[in-house]
Amino acid sequence: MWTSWLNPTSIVIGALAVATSAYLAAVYLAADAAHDQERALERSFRLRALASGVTAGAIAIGGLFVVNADDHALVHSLLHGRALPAVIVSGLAGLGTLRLVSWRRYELARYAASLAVAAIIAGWALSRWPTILPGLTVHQAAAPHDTLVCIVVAVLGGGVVLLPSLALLFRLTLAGRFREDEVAELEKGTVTHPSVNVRVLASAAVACLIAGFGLLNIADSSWAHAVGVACLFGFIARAFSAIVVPALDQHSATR
Amino acid sequence: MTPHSIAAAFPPVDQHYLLQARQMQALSFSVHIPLVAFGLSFPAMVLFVEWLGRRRGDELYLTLARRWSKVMLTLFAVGVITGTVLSFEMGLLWPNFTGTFGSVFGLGFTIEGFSFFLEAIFIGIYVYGWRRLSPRAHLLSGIPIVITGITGSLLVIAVNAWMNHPGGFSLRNGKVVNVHPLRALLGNSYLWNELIHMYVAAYVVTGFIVAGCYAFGWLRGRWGRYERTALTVALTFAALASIAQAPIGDWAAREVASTQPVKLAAMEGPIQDDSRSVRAPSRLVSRQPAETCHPDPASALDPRRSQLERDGGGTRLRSGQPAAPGERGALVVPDHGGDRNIVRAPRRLVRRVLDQAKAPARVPVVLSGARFRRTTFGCGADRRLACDRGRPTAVGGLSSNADRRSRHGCARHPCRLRRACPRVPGGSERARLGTPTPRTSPAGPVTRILRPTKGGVGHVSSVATNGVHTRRAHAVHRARRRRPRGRLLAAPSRSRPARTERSRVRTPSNGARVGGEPCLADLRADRLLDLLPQGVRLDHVHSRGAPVHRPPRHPLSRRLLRDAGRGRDAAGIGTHRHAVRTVLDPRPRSHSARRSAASRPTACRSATPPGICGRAGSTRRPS
Repeated sequence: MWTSWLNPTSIVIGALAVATSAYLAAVYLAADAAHDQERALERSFRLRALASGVTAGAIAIGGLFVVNADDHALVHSLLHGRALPAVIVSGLAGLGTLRLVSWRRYELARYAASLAVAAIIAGWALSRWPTILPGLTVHQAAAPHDTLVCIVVAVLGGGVVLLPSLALLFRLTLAGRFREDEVAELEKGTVTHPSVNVRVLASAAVACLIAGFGLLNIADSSWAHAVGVACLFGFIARAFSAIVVPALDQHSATR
Repeated sequence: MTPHSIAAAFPPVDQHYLLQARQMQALSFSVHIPLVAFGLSFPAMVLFVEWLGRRRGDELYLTLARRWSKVMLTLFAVGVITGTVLSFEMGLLWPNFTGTFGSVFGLGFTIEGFSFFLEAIFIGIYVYGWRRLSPRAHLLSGIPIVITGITGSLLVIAVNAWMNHPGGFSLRNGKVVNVHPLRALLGNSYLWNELIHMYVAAYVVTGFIVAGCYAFGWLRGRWGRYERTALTVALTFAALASIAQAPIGDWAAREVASTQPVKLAAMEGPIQDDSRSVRAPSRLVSRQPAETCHPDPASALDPRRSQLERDGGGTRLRSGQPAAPGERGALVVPDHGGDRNIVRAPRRLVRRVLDQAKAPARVPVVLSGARFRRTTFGCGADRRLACDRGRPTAVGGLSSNADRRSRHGCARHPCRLRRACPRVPGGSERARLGTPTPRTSPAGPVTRILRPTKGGVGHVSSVATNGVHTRRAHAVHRARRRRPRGRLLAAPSRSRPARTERSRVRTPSNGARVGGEPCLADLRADRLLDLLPQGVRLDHVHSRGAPVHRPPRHPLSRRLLRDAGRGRDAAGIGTHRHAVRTVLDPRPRSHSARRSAASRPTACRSATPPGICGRAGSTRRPS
């Protein structure tokens, strides 16, 4: 009946994943509700956070027995190897979160809750080390050296761009900028109607189209193709401004 | 490295549920790609409208941009879901491919992941920042969405280009070694035409869909300044992108024609398959039915095949009858299923379209879905009717989609079956991986694994064959130098009986034809995968069921075929049993056409092999 996809361990882990997600969501939403001084919402989310925290802890502890029966080696490595500190940290953080939530210290509870979940995932990885799957070590699964270098560089470079953006998003969200009253959308006095010389734009667009066509479809070299594509994009831009601006002016005039 | 060693490096693919995996992948892509089109182009449109509103101080533009930005966010979210499905499918449906080559192209998805996260962050800021950020900050927060949309698609398309043209690695014992991921992804010549074609197509798709919404509102009587503005902006984007897409599409088609002729043939011709459960993609661009019976990679080399076909004036719908030779079809439905499959489009609608098409402003119309009244997904998507009557605007956008779908949908391979001017340093000898494709029963697997023959490399084709190639190469060359208008834009609908009667028939000279035995030429050491290892498949390039018969090799048959090509005796073409059933044929037909139609069956039997002329007896009356 049991397969590698369907077995007691995977069912327990799946249930644990759902419970921890609910737990995290409830803690975070309770924090947001407290921030907004929504008393009723805060009460209900606090209740849910406590309930889901207890449930997740119960699944985690009870799951140990189930997994022990199914895959003794996994539990053994969790409780005896280098994963043990992570498991202890996770348990303590979980208990601490419950305490913090019951004290309504939501800001700290956020961090404790994420620490609890992160520690149990790290414990799983540590217990498996150095294999990533049974019979496959991390070294065997790794890509060649050049690819790894490229990926590390890409991750670092991406992080340089991504982390500030994420910080910006969180700052805007957590600082409540998105909940502020609406600011005036229009800066008065900016009403300008740029005059567009349609004839010049249109002839430039046609010239671009012809040039792009010739360079892209008649010429054969790659630089000609590049210039031709640029010309075609120029055609789109110029023709767009030649068409849209007068049309919109006309719409505005007939409003 | 010989092809044998490469072939030995890959065991034959024996994946369970291969067909289902392909269908699943194709379905996922066809759902995902339109959303990608919105993600690529819609932010720019929204930003433009917002910029206009800020600049003019007009609340209407800001309202429009705000509403569009919500649509943008929703479609992005749906695209995230379908994209996640796709990323799982890469590992779950194609574990061997990802396991073997993941180290080469995985970098692309890594960077694309970052680009996706950035896009998500800034879409959030943009949509939730309306009226909360300062106008300037809000406008600036939209710019990263546009940029990350481009970079994300750049990297995914780079992976696709790499799949079409693998490079940047070597094979040793079936393992990928010596990997240069950046060169593999970004140093790929296939990347640029794919990227630009996709990018412009995204504007076509988004612009027409958005404009269509407001046009629908117009029909319902909603036609204020708001709707007019929205329609103007979206439609202008779409129309201009369509115009630019024509030369870009021609560029891409010529690239495909010179590097992947079989793919071009697969995109253009109706493709047959063994099992009837798989429908061949039908064609967007009409084609002379005669040529569909000679699916020949060599004819796929002809750049003119990528043009939109000319069509005679005064067309009308014929249904239920096989196409006669010499007809220039404009509405073509490949018949996948049972016999006597007539076109199911309501005739009235098609007639209306055609009446419009007679007007001086010829509107290109792409009718999607055969049953317009109750469109079923599977059938409808396959039986796309193309009625092309002029400017290739609408066709361009859709063909890009189909193009991408055909690229993604099946395992792909840079099988350059024959290059435009195949030449090998050894003079007239062409290195050839001649392969009688292993035949299977009609109910057999859909795909064929192309195997090298025992002859393998170095099989020398005859001198006479080579002569044919040279002539063909000249023809290709001439065709590429033709005046551009003829290559790109369909001519006005004027009646050209001489041209419509003429069907260019090519003898499958050395057996290399779509549907037959692909042969590899131009083997080069640096393109290892060109050698077509055993495990790599080429989908959908064989005729259905019937084994390929070469024409008898004696001078008479060739002469007959040539005569047929000149219209003197339209021999036996266009009536293959799988061929096109429904054709908008040019009216009025000339008397010579009638004569040739009447004389066809006999000539067909005598001149062409059964694989080519399956339905010899079905004479079509031009009524």
